[in-house]
This record gives sequence, structure tokens and C-alpha cells, in this order.
Amino acid sequence: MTAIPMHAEQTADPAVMRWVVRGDVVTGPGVINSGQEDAALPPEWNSALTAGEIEQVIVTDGELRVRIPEQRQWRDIAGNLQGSLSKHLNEGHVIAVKTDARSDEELATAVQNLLDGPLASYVASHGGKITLDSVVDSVVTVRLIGACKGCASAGATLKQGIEDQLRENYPEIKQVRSIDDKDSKTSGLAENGRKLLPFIS
Amino acid sequence: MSCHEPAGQAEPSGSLATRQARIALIGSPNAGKTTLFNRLTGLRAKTGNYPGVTVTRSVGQASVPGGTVSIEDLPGTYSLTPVSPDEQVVSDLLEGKMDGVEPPDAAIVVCDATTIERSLILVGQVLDLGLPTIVVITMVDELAHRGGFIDKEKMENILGVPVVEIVGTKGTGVDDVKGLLRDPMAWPKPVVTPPSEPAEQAAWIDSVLEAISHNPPAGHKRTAWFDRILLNPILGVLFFFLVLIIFFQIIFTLATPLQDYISGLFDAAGDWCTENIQIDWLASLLADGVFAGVGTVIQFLPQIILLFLVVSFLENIGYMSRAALVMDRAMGVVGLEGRCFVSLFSSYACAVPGIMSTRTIPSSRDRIATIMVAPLMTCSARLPVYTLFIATFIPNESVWGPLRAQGLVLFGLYFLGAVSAMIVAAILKRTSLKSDKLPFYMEMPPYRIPGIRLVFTQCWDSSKYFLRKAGTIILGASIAIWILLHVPVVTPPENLTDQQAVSYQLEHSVAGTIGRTVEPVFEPLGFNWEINVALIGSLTARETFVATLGQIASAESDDDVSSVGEALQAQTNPDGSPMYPPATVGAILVFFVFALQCMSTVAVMRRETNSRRWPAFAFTYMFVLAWIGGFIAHTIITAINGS
Repeated sequence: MTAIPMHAEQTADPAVMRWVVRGDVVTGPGVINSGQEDAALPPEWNSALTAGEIEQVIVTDGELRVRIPEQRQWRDIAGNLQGSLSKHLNEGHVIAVKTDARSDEELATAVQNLLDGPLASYVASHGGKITLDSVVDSVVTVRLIGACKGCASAGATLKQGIEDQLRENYPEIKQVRSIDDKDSKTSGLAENGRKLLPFIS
Repeated sequence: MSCHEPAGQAEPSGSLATRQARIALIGSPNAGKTTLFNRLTGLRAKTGNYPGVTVTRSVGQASVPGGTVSIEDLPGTYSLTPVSPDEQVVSDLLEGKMDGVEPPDAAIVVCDATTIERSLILVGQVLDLGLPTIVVITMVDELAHRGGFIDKEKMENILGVPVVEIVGTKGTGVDDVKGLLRDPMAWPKPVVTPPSEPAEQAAWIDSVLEAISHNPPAGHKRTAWFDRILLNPILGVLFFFLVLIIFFQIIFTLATPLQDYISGLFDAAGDWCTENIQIDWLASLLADGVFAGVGTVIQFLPQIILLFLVVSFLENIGYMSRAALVMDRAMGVVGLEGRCFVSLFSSYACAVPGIMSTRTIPSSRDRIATIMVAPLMTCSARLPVYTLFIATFIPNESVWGPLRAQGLVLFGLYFLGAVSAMIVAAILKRTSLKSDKLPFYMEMPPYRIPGIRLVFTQCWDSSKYFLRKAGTIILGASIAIWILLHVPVVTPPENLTDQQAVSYQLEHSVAGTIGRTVEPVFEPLGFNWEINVALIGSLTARETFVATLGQIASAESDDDVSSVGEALQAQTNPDGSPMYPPATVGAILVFFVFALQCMSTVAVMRRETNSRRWPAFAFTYMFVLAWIGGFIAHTIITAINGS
């Protein structure tokens, strides 16, 4: 018997863990909040959502991102969630969740908050600035100014950083683009860029 | 490759509350655990570039900021489900099943960065144990060099424990490990452990690998190139023999001049004693017993160092696994497997570590068969005997181009030992030790150029062992034999020359009497009483044979004879015939190919087989073989020479 390849990862946010699932059996985007249920999720997960042991499950393609309430310990619940998820998927169930996408305006606000908040000082320290250009059909476009402009490495880094950060909470975002998007041919540099990732945490 | 156990200190004892933390190093074979152990503890346990160098646990102290911790180096294992005795050590220790040893307080799982996929099972199993754990990834320089990349942060997020990258051979990252060792209880524990059900575990590993290794390393070009030759069934075997033949040639061309220099020093020391010490018996004890005896052994240090250099180099560069694989088929004919070959090859240095390395062999019957024949492999202790007699009695003439007779005879003796080992193993495996052949698997590590320092320190450690043996066992035996050769003091008949008077004393001493008593046993081999005395002395250690002959020759010979070899050539029987005719020399050499004259080997056999029966059997069959072999050699050479 072969099993569905999957593993759990801790994230920079101690309240959030992600389960990475291979093989197209988990598809999103969707958000299920505490008190709600979704028939596609394992029954134990729904019970935990109902009981408030889980605050939120965000489903994207190949990934389940789970947030628990601040006062709870992952140690108490992670084993159960993992076991029931593995059982559910290996029994042949597929987790396909699609909740309504939030409006472009809502997404724009979220991006603006990110650019004004956690990112601003980091970007400024590198002599650059990033502004939101537009959000159209869940595609986010940002503009790189100052030192960031023309720096393919920084472009790749920041684009990746913003995208990761936004996707955590807004899985419906399809793409993050930067104007003067030159990094399409410099993906090899993404590796270096990853080392700069801590700025988003 | 040296005969002693890996360096280590006694385990700390005391109550759990007061004693220091005990941290175990766990990892796949050849992952670099011992290199890290040596870095952390400052000890010099033996390392090599092939799986299975460490077969027992060794313990050392590491100073870390704010105190010391106890580090335990364990044999390599691919999982905690053991298949061989060395792997059993690991699971027993971790599960608290080892008598009188508590499970460790924390674990360091050591993973080779270039084969991380094979390490993850073990990582998962160790995490399941619930001990505080860190993961150390070794050889990251090689991974980078081969274009690979492991996402360390991602790995920490997945495993939930600290991950440290190191380059053990250069020491990079070792301080990070030391920093963590200060307080194992503070290490984060995983919030969720990897699945333990095999299918889920395999799936977990696939998923983790995809997440952490953005670029799996490209194949090792140098390794692929060399392996095309060395793993070829024919070329590989040819190369192996080529290495041996070159080695035997340089033993005589390179090492002999150095040997003469050392022997000159001991001769000078002996002469000084004779001239300057007024007390006759003391002068004789020092000159004949100590300097002529032990000196005769120590003069072979250059050959021994050369042998250890070659073995150490082959072990560290990654050749041993290849030799095992190439030889697996040949070993299969005998009924053994490739891993047995590694043990037998190690026995070229010394049978003791060779026998200990059989712990990596999964089949206990294969293991005993290998232990039984390991002493037939020509160990370094035979080298002094072989070189002394070959250099003295075989002309140094060219046989074919650069191949000279002396080197070829030496090669022949090594070859005879190896072939006999195979034949005996085949007989054992077809009779009392019959078993099915298990599938052979062994990791082929990439070729890694060993650090010069590493090769030389290993070689020096082994050579030190040789010197220590010369200074203890062989010195003790030499002094004992000197005493036995000089008591009781007899009054020689009046009409003898000084030289003859000395011979008379030796012959009528306790040792002489014993030697003459066993003469009927060894007469068919052409051994006189002097050879018999040396032979009995050599039961402690083979080198004692040349030490004893050196003593006797030094006592009996004229002062103008400069070396033991010349003295042996000059010695005659009472009837004027040479004491060492070709037939006798041949019988001595063949006798030494077979006989088990080494108490250390007998002791380690007893320990490793946990019985008295097997070492007794080995000693007996090897003595019988030695006698028969010596007799055949004597008969044939006599027939050819007509004397």
C-alpha cells in the first residue's frame, strides 16, 4: 500500500501550522472559520472547528493552514489532526474547498496594511519603497521604487515575501506582480532571496 | 586498523540528578558521526570513508560553554530495527535494554547531506522516542559542490527540532553544536512526530524531501569515473592486485634502507652497553635481551608505517566499499559475502580490529566463519618475520622488469594466506556453518580525498600501538626468554672457544632444554632447538620470534657481524652445515602463514564468539595447518635442492 505523501510544518507564527499534501488531493482556495464546518474536511477537524479548538483552516492547493486559539498548545492537538487527516486522505477522500473570493477592495486593504506595517521598515532600511498599484481579479500589482527598482534580486525577494505573507490569509490571491517585472528570467536568484525571507515574520 | 579499541574514557557514574548529561550520536553508516565525536571530544577514535568503521560504542567528554557533557559515539545504523550486532547496540542502548546502562538523556542524529533521503527514516524513528533531539547535517560542503541545496530552516519547521549544518573534516559549524549541547533539556521538542506506519512514513519522507531539497545533488563525477574501472568485475580485481604488488615492491626498495638505519642505532646502543657496563650479566641482558631483542622488532617500524599508510589511505578515500562489492561475487563462491571481505582486508593490518569489524555482518554464521579465518590474513606482526628472512635469504634480483624476487616472495606469502583463508571458510560454510546467503547491500560513499593530517595521525596511532607492544609484551617476553636462556648457569667443558662456550650455555639453559625437548615435533620441518625456543616465545606475539633469534644471534655471533640477517646466515650447526638452509627458511615462512601465534587475537576471538570452543578450534586447526604446510615446504625444497 502506498500512502498520500504529506508532512506537517511549523510556521513563524506559533499559533499556525501547515500540512503540506502532495498529489492534487487538496485544492482551494477556501477559508473555514471556527464554528463552521466543511463536508470535505476530516470529521475530527470539523469537530475541532465546532468546539473552537481550531480557530481557522485555510485551504490552498496542496496545503492546509491551521490556526489555533492563542491559549491552546499545538502539542495537545497536532497528533490527532495529523492522524485523522492521513486516515481521511488515505481512505480516498479528496479535500476540495472553495469559498467565495473576497473583493478586490478587501484584498487591496490587506496589501496596503502589509506594505505599511511589517514590510515598510525593512524595505526602507534597504533604501527602497514599495507601493500598491492595483488589485484586479485577485491579481495584485505592486510598484518598486528607489533602491528596489531594477534590482532583480530584491524584486524576486519582495515579490515572494509579499506573496507568501498575503497567501497565508488570503488564499484567493492568484498572483503578485511588480511593475518593471524583470525577475521572470532570474528565477535562479530566488534561492538567494529565500535567505532574506525572515523579514516577513 | 590498530589493535586497540577506539579511544574513550570510562562512563560517568553517579545519581541521575548530579551526573552530567549523556548525549548519543546516532546516524547512518558513514554519515560522519565519529568525525563529529572526535571534534567534540578532542579524542581520536578511528574514522574512515566506508560504512561500519565504528562497531562499538565509545564514550568521551566534550567541553561546552559552562561545563562538560558526555558524548557517546554509536555504530552506524539505517534504522532502529537492527539486522546486525553493531546495529543491535544502537537500539538496545536507546531503548534502555543494555545491561547497566541508562538510555541517553538526548540524541544527536547525524545525517549525510548528500544522502539525506536515507537518513530520514532514522530521524523519524529517533523523534518518536521522545528524547530531546537535534539533527546535524554533515558534508554540506560536498553537497554544495555538487550543486545540491538543503533548506535548513524548512527542515527545522518540519522536524520541530534544531538543525545544524557542519563540515566535520574542517570543523565548520561544530561550535554551533557545542552551543546547543550546553542545555539539551532546553531543546524544542516536535509538536507532532512523523508517522510510524511504514507506508505513511515513506510518504512522509517523499513529502519532506520535496520540501527541503530544492536541488538534489548531481552525481559525483569523479566517483562515477573511477567506479567504471573499480567496480568492473575484472579490472577491479586486477587493480586490487596491482595495489598489493606495488606495495610489496616498495616495502623492500623504500623501507629497507630506513630499517638499516634504525637497526644501526640499536646495535650501537648494545655495543655501548657491552663496553661500558661492568656487571657482565646486566650488560648481556641489555645488549642481548633488550637491544638485540626488542631492537630487532622495532627496526621494522618503516615497513609497518608503510603498511598502515596504505591501509589508512584506502580506508579513507572510499575504496573499501568498492573492494567489498567487487569481491562479493568471489566471496559468494566461498559462501561469504562482501562485508566479510572488508573484515578480512582490515586483518592485513591486524586481526584484532578485523575480527571486531565482523560485527557489521548480519549473518551470525558468516560472522563466525570470518572470525575463524581472519588470522590467516597476513597481519603486520608477520611482516618483521617475513622481511627478515626474505631480505636475508632471497636474492634481491630482478625477475621481470621492475618486479624483484623479494617482493614477489612476499606477495606469494600474502597470497597463500588469503587463499588458505578462503579455502577454510569454504569448508566451514559447507559444513558446520552452512547458511543461506543474505542479500548484500552496502553504501558506496563517494571518493573523498582524505586530509593528509587524518591519514598521518591514524597511521601514527597505529604505529604507536606497534611501539607500545614492542615496549611491553615483546620486551617482557624478551627479558623472560633472556633469563630462561641464561639459567641455570652451567660450566662449559674446558676445551671450548669463547663463542662455543656461549652456545653451550644457551643450549643447556632452561629454554634450551625446552627447545631440545620439542625437537622431535619440529624436526621434520628442519627446525633446530633455537628456532623452537623462538617459536614457543612467539606464541605471545609473532614479533617475539625475530626478537628471540636476534638475542641468540647477538649472543653467539662474532662482533664483526653487523646485522641479525648476517648473523643468521653465518650460524652453523655443530656439524658445520648452515643452520638456516633454504628448506628450513621455507618451512619457517610457511609455518608463519598459518600459525595463530597471537594471544590478543585468541582473546578477542573468545570475546566476539562468546565461547572457548571457537578460539580453541582456531588455534588447533591453524597449528595443524602450519605444521603440515611447513613439512610440505621443507620436503619440496629439500627435493629440489637435493640436500
